[in-house]
Amino acid sequence: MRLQRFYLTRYGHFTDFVLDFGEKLPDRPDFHLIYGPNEAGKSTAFSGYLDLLYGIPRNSRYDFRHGEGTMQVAADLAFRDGIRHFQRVKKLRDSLLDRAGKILPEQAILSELGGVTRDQYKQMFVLDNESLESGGNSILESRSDLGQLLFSATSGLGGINQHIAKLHEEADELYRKRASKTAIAEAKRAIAELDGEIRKIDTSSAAYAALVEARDKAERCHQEALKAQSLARSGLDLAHRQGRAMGLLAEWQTLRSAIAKDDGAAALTEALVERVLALEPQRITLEARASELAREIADCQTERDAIAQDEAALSIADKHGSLHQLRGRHAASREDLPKRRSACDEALLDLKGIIQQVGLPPDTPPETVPLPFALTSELRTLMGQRNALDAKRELHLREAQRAERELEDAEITSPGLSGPALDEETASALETMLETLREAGITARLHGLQREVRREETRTDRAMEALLPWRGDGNALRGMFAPEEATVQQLRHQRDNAATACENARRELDELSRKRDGAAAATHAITTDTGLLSDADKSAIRQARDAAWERHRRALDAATAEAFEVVMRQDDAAGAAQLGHAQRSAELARLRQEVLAADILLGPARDRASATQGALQNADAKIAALIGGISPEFPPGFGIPELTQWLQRRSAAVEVLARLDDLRRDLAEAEQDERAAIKRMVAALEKAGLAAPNVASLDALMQSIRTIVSASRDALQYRRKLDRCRIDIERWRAAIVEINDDLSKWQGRWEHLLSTCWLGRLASALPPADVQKILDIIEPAPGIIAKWQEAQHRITAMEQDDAAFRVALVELAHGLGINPDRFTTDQLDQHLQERIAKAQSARERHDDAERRLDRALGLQQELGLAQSDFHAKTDDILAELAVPDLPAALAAVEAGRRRAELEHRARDIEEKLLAELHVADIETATQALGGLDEAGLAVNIASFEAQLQDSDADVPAAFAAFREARRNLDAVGGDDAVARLRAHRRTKLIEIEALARRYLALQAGAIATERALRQFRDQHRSTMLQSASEAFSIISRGAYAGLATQPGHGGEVLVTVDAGGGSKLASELSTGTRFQLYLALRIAGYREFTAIHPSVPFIADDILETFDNDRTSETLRLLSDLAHVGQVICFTHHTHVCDLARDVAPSVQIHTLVSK
Amino acid sequence: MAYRFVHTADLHLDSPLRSLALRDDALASLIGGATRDALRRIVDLCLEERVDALFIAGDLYDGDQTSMKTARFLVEQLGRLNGAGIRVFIIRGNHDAMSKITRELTLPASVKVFGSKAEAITIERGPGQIPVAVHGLSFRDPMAPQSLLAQYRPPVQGAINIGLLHTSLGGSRGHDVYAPSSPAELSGTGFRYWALGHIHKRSVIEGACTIVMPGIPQGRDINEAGPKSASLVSIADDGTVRVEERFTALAEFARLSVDLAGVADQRGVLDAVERTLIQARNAMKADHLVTRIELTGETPLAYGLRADADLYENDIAARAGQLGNCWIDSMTIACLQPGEQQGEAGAANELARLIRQDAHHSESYRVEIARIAADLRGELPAECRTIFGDGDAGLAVLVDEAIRDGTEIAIARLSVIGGAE
Repeated sequence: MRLQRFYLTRYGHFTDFVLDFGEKLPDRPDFHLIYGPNEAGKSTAFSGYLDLLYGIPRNSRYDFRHGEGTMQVAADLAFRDGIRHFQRVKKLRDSLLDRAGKILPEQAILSELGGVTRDQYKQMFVLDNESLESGGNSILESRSDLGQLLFSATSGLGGINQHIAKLHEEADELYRKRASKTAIAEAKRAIAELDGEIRKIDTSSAAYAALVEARDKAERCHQEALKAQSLARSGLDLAHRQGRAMGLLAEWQTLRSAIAKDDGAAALTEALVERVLALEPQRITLEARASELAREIADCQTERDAIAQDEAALSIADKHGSLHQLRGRHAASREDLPKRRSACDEALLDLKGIIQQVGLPPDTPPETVPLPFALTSELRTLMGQRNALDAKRELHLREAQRAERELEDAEITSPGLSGPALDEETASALETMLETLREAGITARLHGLQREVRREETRTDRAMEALLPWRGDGNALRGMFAPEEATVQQLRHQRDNAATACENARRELDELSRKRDGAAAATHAITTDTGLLSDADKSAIRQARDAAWERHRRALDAATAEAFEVVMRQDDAAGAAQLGHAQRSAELARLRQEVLAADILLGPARDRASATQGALQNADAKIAALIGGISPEFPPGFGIPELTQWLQRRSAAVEVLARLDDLRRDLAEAEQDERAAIKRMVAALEKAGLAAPNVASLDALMQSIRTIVSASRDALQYRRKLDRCRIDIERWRAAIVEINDDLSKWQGRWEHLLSTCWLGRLASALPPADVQKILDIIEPAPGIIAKWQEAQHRITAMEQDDAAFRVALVELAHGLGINPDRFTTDQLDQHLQERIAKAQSARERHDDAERRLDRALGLQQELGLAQSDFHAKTDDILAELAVPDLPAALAAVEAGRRRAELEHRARDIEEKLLAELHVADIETATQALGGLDEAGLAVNIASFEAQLQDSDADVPAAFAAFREARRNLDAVGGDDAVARLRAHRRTKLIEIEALARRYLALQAGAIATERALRQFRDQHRSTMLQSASEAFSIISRGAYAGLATQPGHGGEVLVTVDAGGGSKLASELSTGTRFQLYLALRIAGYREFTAIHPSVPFIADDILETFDNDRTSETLRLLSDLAHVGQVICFTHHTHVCDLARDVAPSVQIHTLVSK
Repeated sequence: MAYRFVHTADLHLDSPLRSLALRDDALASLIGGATRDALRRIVDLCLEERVDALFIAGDLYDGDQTSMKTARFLVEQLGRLNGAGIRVFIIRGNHDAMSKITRELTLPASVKVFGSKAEAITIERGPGQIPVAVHGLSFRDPMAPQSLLAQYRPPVQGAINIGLLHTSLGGSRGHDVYAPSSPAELSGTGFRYWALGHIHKRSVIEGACTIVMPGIPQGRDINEAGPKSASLVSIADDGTVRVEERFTALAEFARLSVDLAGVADQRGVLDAVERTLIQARNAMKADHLVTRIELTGETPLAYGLRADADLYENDIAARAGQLGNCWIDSMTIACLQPGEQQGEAGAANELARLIRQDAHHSESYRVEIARIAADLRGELPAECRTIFGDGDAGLAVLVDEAIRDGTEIAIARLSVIGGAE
């Protein structure tokens, strides 16, 4: 895919802005530079491009000018199957449209992008300073791992290693061998703790059985103790009861005899006793009550007769009371009336004010001021329309002026249009030619060759100098006699052999002489030391001895004998010496032999020495002849080694000469090429109707053609701009005419409406602003009129109510003989009210006294009846008791009560006695106690008490033991403490299971990623490394020869190779170089992508900002090169980047973003 | 007058629930004693309905249950029935046969525990009412590979015959074979009602002989999901049997699937889960719902869900907490990322493809993961090693699962680091 034309229709501060990238030209890099100064909108354009592809995000930053519903970008995109137009609007869905506004599926673009998402696009195909920096850092973090670097370069994603490390880390938090801080280790510890707790509180079935048995045994013991205690206690109890019964029987008998003695007292009934005792209090009460009533009756009569009555006032009370409604209204109006009057006045004043403000006559009735709603509504609508029309007209005028100004500006600031106006075809043809020439590299070659020739000439001079003392030119050098290397070597061999032979012969001679001399010296030394004779001496002595003997035998005289003896002694001495020095003698013999042998060898050795010396001299003579044949200037001592070196220098010089010749030939060719190229260019220019500039070199010619083409394009662009301005002017002017028409229609309707109401009478054709003001002024009028009328109505009603109230009061006053004229209405009402109240109060007090008197008289009558009743009752009782009076009756009552008490006590004791002995009657009781005495009972009690004391001690102990055993058993309980601990334990176990699964999954994920990364590396290594290596070399301007790999920690690492052959890990590079390396890798990544998928535009956003000129040039060269495989769009805000781009890539298209 | 009783089995008292949701202490304290609660509810049911008897067809406890506290609890509850004059008939199941704790207890007088020799207890009822004969047989051993039916006494003539039997029927997944029997064989005994136990899933066969497997009254893990109950049975004098299901569980397990198709933000995920939870909670028969949630459907959040599964699970648990009585056991993600299949371009997609290929096809990779798994297995408590299954085959299953989950997590995380820029 490539971007052919990009429309920022309504986006950010752009309106209808177009970036035209044109069609892709064959064999030309698709390289575009978008130049825009700061704030021109480069980021906006870039964002717009991504929004076109992937949709405008809901919270776009670029909706400040064109709001929600109007944002729009569009583009002509070149797809594999042709050009297609797309529009993108800001909507949640269905935001991708075709030219006709028909909705397109997102897939229409996405499928061409190979499913690459927005984020992926930004990562893979966009470079900015930030991504360069983070890319450089990712090289550092990757520790040069090749797989990570290649992945990072193709995906644009850094941090893959952190991603893997994080998976490992997470896994390690769950489990590490022998680690104690991991989640699994902690869960295991928790399980161990739970096991301990369970053991502490749980009871097994066996332990439980033992508890049951202990409890049963303690229970049996307790039961036995209880039984013994019970026996003792019942025995003791019986004895005590018997003792108490004996006492009770005696008492009973005493009481019975007392009753028998008091036989005379009569027993009175309870009821009679009560009646007698009640008589005296009743009498006293009745008498007191009678006197009290008599006093009350007298008081009431006196009080009643003292109260006077006002009948006239009472007669009008009802009428006066019935006036309460009128009184209420009168009271309200007293408060309200002044307010109403002032409100009425205020409203009228307001209305007069409005009438005056709008300029109506002062006598205008206020009711006529408000205008009908339909009228004001239409007036307001028209005013709104008028504003809109004015604004639109203003806008159109401004736009027209702007267009005119732009046209003027354009005309004034027209670029030097002196240059020729080339048509597009010619310009392209010229550019193609320039590109071809650039690629052919004629100039570069020419300059290179010139440099080379100069360099080779210098080298030649140096090579010739090295041949001194020989002097001569190249031809002499080439023409001179130069012995073959073989010949020289042969001579050197011969001489060396001769010298060696000579040396050997001399050494042999020396050796032989040395040996012989040594042996001779040793012989002499031995003979001197030992007196050993040589064989000749010995033989001479023997001959002398033999001769002497012969002489003596013949003579046999003393003289011969003596002579013989002398000789004999000599021979003996020699023989004795021989015997005494047998070893030295043998050595002496060997030495003598050696001397002899040496003497024999010395002769031939001397001959050989002299022969080899001759051969050596012969060889030296040959060599001298050879050197002399080459040059007579060689100094003496110039031998074979010097000759060999000189000959090598000569060969070098001959080579340099040959290369120089070649270069000169090449240079001539290049110069010819240049001339031919110039000729072609000139021809092309002439064909285009252009005069060939008078220039010396192809370079200069190309530069001037570039200038011509560029100028021509500028001119074209300029003319287009002029056309656009003119069209704009026309359009806006037509719009102004249209709007003027609308305005006059509006005016007609406006005047008609005014004429239908009093507005028309105020002035002819009031302007909207005035009408607006009037409408604003009269807007409150209807409200004020309503208020005014309401106040008037209320005032009248209140005044009528007040009059009616007064009339009613006056009438009542006359009835009571009061002169009403002395009072105001309120005073009169008050006066009447007081008089009536007073009369009513007197009547009430009178009636009350009357009522009390009646009640007292009734009570007096009732009391009389009660007194008669009392006397009759007293008489009956006295008759019944047969006593004469009340005191006698009271004495009889007292005697009866005493006897009854004695009988009651006797019965009581009898009951207790029977109960103690558990028998039914006194007789049986008497029998039962018959045989007992107090002493016997005391013995029994003591015995039982002792037994009881013992068992009382036993029982609590047995019970405590039983209770303890039972408590132990109950402590087991049915609670769920253990079950809950086990449940907790189970949860921990499944937690460990979950952790183990998670651990394995994380490890599997991390390892799979690492393995995949290695595979990724292996699949892309060769192609990517090659292109990255080339790119890196270019961008580093040859400081680095390229990239290589070597085995590293756990895989393969990337190293850089510098020009000197030294290598360095990628992560060890300086920051700047790391950025370059990252750039090279990214470019390789893009090439890798386009090798498999259709290309997509590659965007570089101001990445050259921090680069120096050289590096910028190289980067641009790299991008231009990349533009052969896909469209490359580079944003910059530096003009010098544009110039540099033109230098390295003449066919680069430079687009300018217009400043805001 | 009808003879009425409650029939239950497989109480597995104090057998712990298995759920990660119980990591929440609040939930653990609420439902940690759920098996006890189920028995309490069954006893309450007996008392409320004033039934004649309670039948427990085996497996009062888990076999390895050793705490006397559990048995004491059982006695307390049976004591309540004893107080109300309700008889209890119990047979021992395979788990009880292993357990020692009942023997030490004194059960209330009204409780009949059948011995290892078949017995028939005849219950005489009021004048004019047909007597009831209860047949039962407990086994001493935890294994009973043969049918026990032949050992039962013949039906008592003129009585309603009810049999208690702990049986695996024809065998069922997840249950060992125990005293196998078939419905036909059971019907052939001439009993009116067979009160069965052993299989934890409820089933009822009605006919001339009504055969009821009441199921476990309190599910213990996600594999025992759904409502759990006991049976309230009434047998009229004319032999008509009416079986009513009465729910007994305190907590109910449920697997819920939530379709996230078209859901594009975190809030949407939570809302969708909440809707499903509300629906399930309204349908549940217990007091608490413990759910395993599976997220499905195609959503742009799929990678994010996988990458931050723990955060999402926390949020979902919090939402469930707000709903009340809803708890999350665990969450699995089976969502698809849109375009995951078609995104063929780009290094990230290629790396994801390589990861998946390697996971599926590389033997050396599998061996490496299996080695890590084997190392880990050695370090886990013995009871946990069962997750690795038996021997190498079990390990292989676990390794497969780890590879599947792990690679998807890695891919999801990869896309999230890309997306975050």
